[in-house]
Amino acid sequence: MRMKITKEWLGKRATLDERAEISSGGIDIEELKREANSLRQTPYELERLVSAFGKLIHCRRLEMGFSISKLARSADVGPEEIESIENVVGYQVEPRTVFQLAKTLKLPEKQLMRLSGQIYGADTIFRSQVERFAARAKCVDHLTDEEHAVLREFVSFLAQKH
Amino acid sequence: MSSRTAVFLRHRASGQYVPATLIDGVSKGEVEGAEKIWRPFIQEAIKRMEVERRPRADRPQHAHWDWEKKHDAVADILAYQLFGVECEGEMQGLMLLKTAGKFSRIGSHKSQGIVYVSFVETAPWNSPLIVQEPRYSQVGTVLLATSISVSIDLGFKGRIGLHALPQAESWYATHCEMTDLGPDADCHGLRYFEMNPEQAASFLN
Repeated sequence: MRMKITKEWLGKRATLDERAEISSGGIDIEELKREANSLRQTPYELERLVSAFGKLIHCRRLEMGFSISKLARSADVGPEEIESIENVVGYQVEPRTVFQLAKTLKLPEKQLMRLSGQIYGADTIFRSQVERFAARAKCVDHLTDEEHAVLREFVSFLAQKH
Repeated sequence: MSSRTAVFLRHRASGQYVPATLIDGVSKGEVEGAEKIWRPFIQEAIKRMEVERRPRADRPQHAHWDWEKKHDAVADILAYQLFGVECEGEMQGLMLLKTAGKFSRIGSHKSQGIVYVSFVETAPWNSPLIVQEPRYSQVGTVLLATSISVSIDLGFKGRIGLHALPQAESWYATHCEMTDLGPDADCHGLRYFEMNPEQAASFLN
């Protein structure tokens, strides 16, 4: 939560909000349960974040405590690019972006280039590690100990010489 | 795990702003505490309205809501966030957000992600439908600003959407300047409102 709600800001709106009725919400409890249970069965994060590269950026960003906008500022890339990397399957990322993200997120540049498809030469071990990470990494809002361990294992694999 | 941020509410009797707390991740206990006070208060008000033979349209349309059930339905699902505003030891408003799987219905923003306000309700003593003189105002403003802020944090640029109950339509349409996309047949005919990034920036300005 970045926004600071101040008395001054509220004061400017006070007349508009006087005697306001605000209730909203159209679904009944059974619909809410169904909707929520469908997310339990098919976690949204698996739908949204399917590529290993996107998952790596997402998890590393969370691990380092960056919001999308903060990472964008630090890495000097557009927030929408980071959003696309994390969310859009098959998004074609620019080499400069990969370089900037590698620098900011302290990830090995060459491996990140391979992972993002900028350079070729992924061997069997590399591919299997990528698949393993993609299968195990859950792109959640907060990393659990298990997710930290999965990320650490993959990042240390990337840091090795290949 | 919950986090707390200092905010303010306007105490209407004195016209003063008083310190309040915005809770991100309202606990089961906090929801139970609110329900224990809110629901009997609303039931009492409805009884009074019946005695006074007030028209049904004047009665609160959310009287049957149960935040404990809502809390239980979405517990531990990351795509939902439950916020509350607490002031002077009492919950003054609750809001449930869905942060995944909802997309804009506005032409130029179509299929872009939004934060969907699944439910929002103020404590009954703050509702002009229930009491003559509401205690605190701007609970909804604080919560709506919060939903925009969450949307920005998630990279949705402030885009939010909600289905307003009829009694609340005018506030969202006129005073929040949200886009009214009309009655939604898939949501009991409630009017669907959306805020695009420009409207969100204007609201926060």
